[in-house]
Amino acid sequence: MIATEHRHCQKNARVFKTRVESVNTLTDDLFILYLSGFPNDFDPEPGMFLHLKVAPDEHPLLRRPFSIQSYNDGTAAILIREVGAGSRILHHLQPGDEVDTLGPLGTTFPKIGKDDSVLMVGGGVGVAPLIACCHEADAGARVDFCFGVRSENEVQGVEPFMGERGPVHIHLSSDDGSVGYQGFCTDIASRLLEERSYTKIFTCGPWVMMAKTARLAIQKEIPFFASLEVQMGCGLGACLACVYESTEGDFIRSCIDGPVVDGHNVVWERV
Amino acid sequence: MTVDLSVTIGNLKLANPVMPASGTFGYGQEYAGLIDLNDLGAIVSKAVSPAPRPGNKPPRMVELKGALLNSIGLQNPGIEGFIEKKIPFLRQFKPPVVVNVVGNSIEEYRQVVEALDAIDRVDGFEINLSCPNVQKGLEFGTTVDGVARITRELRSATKKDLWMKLTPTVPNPGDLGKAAEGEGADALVAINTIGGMTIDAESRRPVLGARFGGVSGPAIKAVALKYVWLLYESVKIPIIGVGGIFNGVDAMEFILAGATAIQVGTANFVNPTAMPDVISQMADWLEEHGESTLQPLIGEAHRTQGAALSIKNH
Ligand SMILES: Cc1cc2nc3c(=O)[nH]c(=O)nc-3n(C[C@H](O)[C@H](O)[C@H](O)COP(=O)(O)OP(=O)(O)OC[C@H]3O[C@@H](n4cnc5c(N)ncnc54)[C@H](O)[C@@H]3O)c2cc1C
Ligand SMILES: Cc1cc2nc3c(=O)[nH]c(=O)nc-3n(C[C@H](O)[C@H](O)[C@H](O)COP(=O)(O)O)c2cc1C
Ligand code: FES
Repeated sequence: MIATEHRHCQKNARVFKTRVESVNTLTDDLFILYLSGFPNDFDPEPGMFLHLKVAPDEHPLLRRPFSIQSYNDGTAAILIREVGAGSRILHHLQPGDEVDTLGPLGTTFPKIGKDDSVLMVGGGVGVAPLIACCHEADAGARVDFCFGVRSENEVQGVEPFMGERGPVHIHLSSDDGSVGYQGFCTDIASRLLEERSYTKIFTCGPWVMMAKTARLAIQKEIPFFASLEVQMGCGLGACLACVYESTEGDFIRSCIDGPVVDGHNVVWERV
Repeated sequence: MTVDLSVTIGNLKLANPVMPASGTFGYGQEYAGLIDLNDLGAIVSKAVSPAPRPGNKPPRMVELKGALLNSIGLQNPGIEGFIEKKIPFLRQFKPPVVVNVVGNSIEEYRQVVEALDAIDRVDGFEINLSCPNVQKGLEFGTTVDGVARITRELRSATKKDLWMKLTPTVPNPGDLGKAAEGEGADALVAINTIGGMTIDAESRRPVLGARFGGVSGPAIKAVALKYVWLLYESVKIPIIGVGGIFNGVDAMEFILAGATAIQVGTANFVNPTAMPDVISQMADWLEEHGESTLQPLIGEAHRTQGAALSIKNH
């Protein structure tokens, strides 16, 4: 659901303990965390996230938000980049360790129907929620997935998640040219937009990449959905820490009225 | 043995002494799916100002070591928005509802109190005298005359319970407390966040969009405890302790320092069930220590001589 009216609470969110199944290291700073032990009725949709208490004590203090990349047979896969203390602790978890988990939280990407032709632009760990969307796409749909990485070794870990490619066409780009096109994934997106017509554009990743994608979507007047990664506090809509500025001049909570938002409604230019 | 956690604050009877710290629990709705609001001692709302406030530019929150720094900027829907959108929800619950009030002038505080005085579901007001994020709020909060004046004005505007939430960074908490008590406040709430900032050395600029913010969480507990202690020595009206309370033992420390009730703030962000957890941990504490009610424990640390023999949990 994309919130047109602001939501009152995170429907179905609960606090529970999950268990680490395994931690799969992909590169120096990239890994996949597999968690199990979710409640029976846990049923996340593409774009939703978990808010993890990474340590049992107060260091670090706040929970850390992570998108659910896939959820199958009671196990969630989360693609994580180690950037600080919290993600480092998660990287070093052992099978069987318990993780205090809050979720599922947030809004979702619109479903990809059989008549849809969707352009996806994802960078780094921002591909996680986009991959979740691909899994749920109807047969007959077409997805062009522009996927930007730093270098080739980041792709290998993520590829198995693309599953049966079905409707998904992957267009790789890398910073160092070790795989695909050398340059920005938004360059590829821009070219594709000249070649085909799309019903929707989805994006998730670094702000600059999403802002460039936004410019394309605005130019072409295509419905545009972005998953924002704004620093969060409660994850529940209570603290008002996670706001982004809307084009109407409001500050909107990205944890509850996002993280997936109507990209046309976001002020992308930052001073 | 069953323990009785009930306490009385002014005209309000609370089933237990635990309530949210303003601004950390929204208007209750956000947590309603995760805890039962009827289990709380009271419900304290986020700030309400006369007109809606958009709040500060992001980033608005940064984590520090053992603490948070926030500059939300009192974003709120204003009196009308509060009455229209929040009161219908709050009506469903049993615990008293106390509205946190903020303004840029005494007149603005008065406007909020007068407008909400007529609403039956509002049981009391918590007057936010110190928000480090709002410049003009400060002068009422830091001087004896200022506190006396605003308390007097608001006392004449409502018969409902009036709690004065005090500024932490003053040299004379006891004098401010006495000033509020002398003008008819029903209770004192201490403390609000402590002003602070943080700088990103790489980009060479302040991290918060608003530059300055307020520090909360475990790191301010010691400051809050001393404040409550000093107030207890100066006033007879109940004190509500707040600052870094994360569990039942933290809460008991505030009771022993002189608080009749406590508020849980930052802990709600870390653990959405923090308040019901604190309530049951306080009951466990009483039971384990052979106590049946809170009353004799309030301020007990003032009556026991010397320092603790064993120091745990520090
Ligand atoms: C809805 C949502 C979904 C997310 N999904 C993923 C995901 O699937 N995989 C993943 O690796 N990360 C994801 N993130 C980002 C992740 O939450 C942060 O990287 C993490 O919180 C950092 O914690 P830390 O303690 O390791 O680092 P910190 O020490 O807290 O921070 C280290 C650095 O990371 C930056 N940072 C911290 N929090 C965020 C944030 N929320 N967004 C962007 N930068 C941040 C800080 O500014 C700092 O520069 C998501 C964020 C949000 C809001
Ligand atoms: C995000 C946030 C928002 C707050 N908003 C308010 C507010 O609107 N009014 C107020 O009186 N205090 C506000 N406070 C202060 C808290 O009510 C409380 O006094 C303070 O956080 C100390 O308690 P803690 O350490 O348990 O968080 C806020 C605190 C935080 C962290
Ligand atoms: S993280 Fe608290 S309101 Fe969004």
